[in-house]
Amino acid sequence: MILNEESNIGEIIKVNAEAIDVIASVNKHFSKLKNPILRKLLASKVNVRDAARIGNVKPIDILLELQKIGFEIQQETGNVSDNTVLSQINTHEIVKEIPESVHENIVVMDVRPLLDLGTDPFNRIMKQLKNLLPQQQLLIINTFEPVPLINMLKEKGFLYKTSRPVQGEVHTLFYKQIEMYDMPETQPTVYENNDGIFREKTEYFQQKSRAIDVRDLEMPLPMVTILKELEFLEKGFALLVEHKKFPQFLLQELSTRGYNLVSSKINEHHTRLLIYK
Amino acid sequence: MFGLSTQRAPSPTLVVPYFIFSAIAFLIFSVLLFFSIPELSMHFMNPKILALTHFAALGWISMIIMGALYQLVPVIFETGLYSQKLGKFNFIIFGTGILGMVWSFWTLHFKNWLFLFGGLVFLAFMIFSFNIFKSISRSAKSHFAGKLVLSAIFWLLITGLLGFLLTLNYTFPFLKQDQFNLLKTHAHFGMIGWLLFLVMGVSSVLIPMFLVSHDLKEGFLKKALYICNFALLLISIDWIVFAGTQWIPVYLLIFFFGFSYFLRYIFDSYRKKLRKLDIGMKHSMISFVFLLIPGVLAVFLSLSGWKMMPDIHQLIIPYGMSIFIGFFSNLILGQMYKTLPFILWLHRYKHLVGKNEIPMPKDLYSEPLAQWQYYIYLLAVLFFALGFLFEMAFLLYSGAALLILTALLFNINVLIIVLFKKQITSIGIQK
Repeated sequence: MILNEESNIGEIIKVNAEAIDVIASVNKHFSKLKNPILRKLLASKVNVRDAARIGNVKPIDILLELQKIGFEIQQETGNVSDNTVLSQINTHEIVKEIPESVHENIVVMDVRPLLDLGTDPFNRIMKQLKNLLPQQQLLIINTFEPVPLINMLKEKGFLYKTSRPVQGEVHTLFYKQIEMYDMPETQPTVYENNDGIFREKTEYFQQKSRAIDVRDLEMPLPMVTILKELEFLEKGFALLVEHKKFPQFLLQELSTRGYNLVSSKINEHHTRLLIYK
Repeated sequence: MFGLSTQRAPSPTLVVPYFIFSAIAFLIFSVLLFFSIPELSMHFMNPKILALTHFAALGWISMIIMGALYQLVPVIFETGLYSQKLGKFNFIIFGTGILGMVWSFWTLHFKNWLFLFGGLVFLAFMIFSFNIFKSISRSAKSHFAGKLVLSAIFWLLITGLLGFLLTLNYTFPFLKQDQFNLLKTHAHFGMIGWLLFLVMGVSSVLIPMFLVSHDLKEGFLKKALYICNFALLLISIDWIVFAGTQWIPVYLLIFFFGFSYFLRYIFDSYRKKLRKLDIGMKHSMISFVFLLIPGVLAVFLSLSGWKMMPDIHQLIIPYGMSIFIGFFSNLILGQMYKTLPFILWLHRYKHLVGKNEIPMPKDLYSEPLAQWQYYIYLLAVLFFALGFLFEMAFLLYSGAALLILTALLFNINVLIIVLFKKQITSIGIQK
């Protein structure tokens, strides 16, 4: 088997199980490969270059060790050379400047105790990410750069940044691009006095709407009535409200509860509202 | 309009301090008034009367009106307030200015200190106006309630400017006009231009809203807006330029004519109401009836320029008191019950509506205390009126004592509204 930086560790191990011990001897980080669970988790997802990054060594070191147990190594380019500088290893093109706004709300997750117990932290990390609020970011602390995880989350649209604050400790920060949370579909919309959209939406909800008139109610009963009606509204239905005016103080609450609002002004004393999810 | 801001209600942390300052100022005012009864029979240009007038006009009335207006910007102009931070900052400037100014008057520090604190108050007027103008500039709406509020703010700035020039004049005399006329003009810019026009603008929105009356004639407001502003302009030019001519009663008639349109608007709203008057609205509606007192006094005072009238300057203090205590205080003592509970209700319970049993704004204060406050207040006004009519100090003291009691009850209810939060459980409200 001819090896280069792209070679998959899992396949190398499949060919020759001795490789486990060899790679483990390169750097103590790789001793984790001796743990079958971690090996299954890591080995199949990483290549030699990734492994070097995880171990914070040069890829050539690993390749040279593997050469000793009978693997051939391909050195057609100068890339696999001693010149590979460690600092470059930590520089990933994908990392842009983290926007100012994401500096708060870091959820820290130290996975080292789990790894020491031989448990795969993957599911817990994914669960944590799922529960992450918009604007929050997840900081994973472990002993190596979680390259498989990074590759997977990169595909899911996460940005990441790694740092090694102290020897043997790798911090990986995952965060989403802010724009991803500002998608129009996810935020309730308010259309004030938009007759076109109002007509379109009332037609759409024609068979599926409930109508109420709050014009004769004293403040704050119009708001109370609307919110109560919405609580009992069937899914997919809209609430059609006859109101005296555009409800200034109700807007935010509708937004918080995830409702869209479109209004159409009939005259100075009569505005119609359509509220829907 | 995508991305429309839905955050229209200002934070209670902005509005509530204005209400609390105002309520306490009203209490202190009524106590100071009690100890100034002897001064009430003197000429109105005496330090204690000046201190009291400014404490009432600024600390009690303007303070609460400004706080309420921050909340009402979305209702009147259909846009959010430009800057809440500026509003909070202005509270400190305005509060400091008022306390310093009243102290300067009371302790006769007419030089330097009055100038300094008067300057602070004027600065607060400018910051407030800037904040409101900036908010409105984002609003496309312009109905007459909004225009009345805008004209009120214009007069507020003019009042502040003239007041500031007067304090400057104490430090560096430069005004050639008669002080008496300038002070009179300053007072009317404040009472009519600022406070009355603002009250007209705000109540033309709030009263139909609270009484739930439909199809009112906006045309009445339009006439009131133009005619009243025109009359005030005529009166002030006459006073400043011609030191008061015999035409004043004519301008007053023009003013009454314009104001009658506003009263018709309010009466129309009252006639078409779908709701009964609650305690807050009773207080406020009776205040419009009480306007008859300063109206009649104004007619007598305006005729004083005519040679055949006897000197009636002793009517000036009852005239001022009938405006400040009889009208503005009356209106505010009632409107507080309609605004402050709603502001805090919105903040505390809105998110629970439909999900839980929640209290209504009217459940946030003590109704019996409010009833007592209303009747004791009416008694206070009666005693003041009788006291002036029969020139008996005993009756005036009784009036002032009853006003203190009114202020106490009012303050207790403000505290109840602000401090006592009803505990909401999943089962219901814990009283």
